[in-house]
This record gives sequence, C-alpha cells and structure tokens, in this order.
Amino acid sequence: MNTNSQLPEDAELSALLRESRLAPDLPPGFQDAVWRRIERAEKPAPAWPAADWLDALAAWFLLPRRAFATAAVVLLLGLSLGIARGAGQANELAKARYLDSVSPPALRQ
Amino acid sequence: MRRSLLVLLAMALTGVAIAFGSYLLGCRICAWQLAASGDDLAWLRREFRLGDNEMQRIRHLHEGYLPKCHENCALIAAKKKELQAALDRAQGMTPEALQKLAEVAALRARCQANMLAHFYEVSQAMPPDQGRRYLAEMQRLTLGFHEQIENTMSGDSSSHHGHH
Repeated sequence: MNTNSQLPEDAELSALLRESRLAPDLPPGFQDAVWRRIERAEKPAPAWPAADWLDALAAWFLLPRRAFATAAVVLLLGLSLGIARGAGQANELAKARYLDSVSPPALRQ
Repeated sequence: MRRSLLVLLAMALTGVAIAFGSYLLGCRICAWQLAASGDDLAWLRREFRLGDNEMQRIRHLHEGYLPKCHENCALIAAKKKELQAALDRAQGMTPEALQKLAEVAALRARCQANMLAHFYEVSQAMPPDQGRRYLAEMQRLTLGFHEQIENTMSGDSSSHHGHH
C-alpha cells in the first residue's frame, strides 16, 4: 500500500480538518506592530543615542552664514553686557571723583 | 559623532572667548570715555541732567570753592600733625592734646560748613527738583558717615541727634 498517494476522501478529510481548526482573533494593530519590529531589527543601531542630534547640530553650525551670525550675536551680547556694566562702574567712578573734589576723604572720616 | 562633538566643543570655546573678549572691550570703552573726559563735574551733568547754562554756573561755583577747600584741608592736615605730636609726647590726655583735638574739630566743622554752603549754592543753580535731590544726596554722602558711626556706637538705628 502506497502511503504517499492520497485518496480523494483523504483530501476532503484534510480540508475539513483545516476548516474545523479555530484561528484566534489577532489583536488590533498586530500587523503594524510586526512590521515595526521588523523595521527596527533591520535598522543599524546608533553607537550612542545622542549621536544623531549632535551630528545635526554640528552640521547646522558648520554652515558659514550661520556660524558668522552666531558669532555676531555672541559678540553683540558680550559688548552690550560689558558696556552696561562698564557704564555702571564709570558712573560710580565719576561720582567718587566729584565727591573727592568737593569733600576730601579725610574730611569724611 | 566624535568629530561633531569636537566641532561643537571648538565652537563653544570660540563663543565663550568672543563673549568674554567683547565684554571686556565694552567695559574698557566706558573706562576710556571716563578717562578722556577728565572732568570732575561730568557726573553732575549726567546724574542731574544739566544743560550747558546750568553747568557753566556750577563750574564757576566749583572753581571758586576749590581753593577754599584746599586751604581748609591743608590747615586740617597741619593741625592733625600737631595733634599727633602732642599725643606722642604725652602719656595720657594732656591739656595740650585736648586743645589740639578741639582745634582739629573746629577746623573740620568750618570746612564742613563751607562745604554745605557750597552744596546749597550748587543746588540753587539746578532745576528745583534736581537741586533738592542733589542736596539730599550730598548730605547723605558727606555727613551720613558720621551719623552711621554715632548710631553704631549708641546702639540706636534711628537718628535722633544726627544734626551737628
């Protein structure tokens, strides 16, 4: 008896058995989740998570126009702060100078 | 990634250097301006927003006051030397030292009286509001020091006898 050859009745029986097997319902979004996992697995992992934004930041600054603009902003900011502080100090010095001329320190002590 | 880190680090250092350098430059510009003016009355003009006419009157008063002020200061300095010599000679408080002390105090009082008279004159050469502010500020700066010491010594923070 040849066991490999299937009788038509066996084929019908197999079909009936396949239909009778209950397939559980998949959770919603199951297929998307599977694809996402596949994509993640295929993508090469970065050596350090911050590497991407560091590269992006360096590339952003390396454009000459942006680098000069940033330098100019820093320069103006430093100059403004220096002048503001210097003006305060200069005012105090000018005040002391006037006071020393009309009321010598020896008199005030 | 390492190259990016180095680039950002170099940029941050350059930024700090630029900011610090420009900050110092700003301070220096103000100091240069002050040194270039070389005017004792520059503060008055700026602080009390005085015009050219007012400044001219005040400058005239200032130049008239200075020789008297220098003369009084020289007298006080000479009298203080005498007082110091009397104190060095004596073992305690001698009548001579007491006399010198009274003379120094009298000279100081005369000098302060001249100074206050000058402040009144200057305040009258200013617009009324600014004049009042000037007078209050000058009295605080020139007489307030003694009040502070007296209040500290008496343990009283309020000034009950501050008018000498």
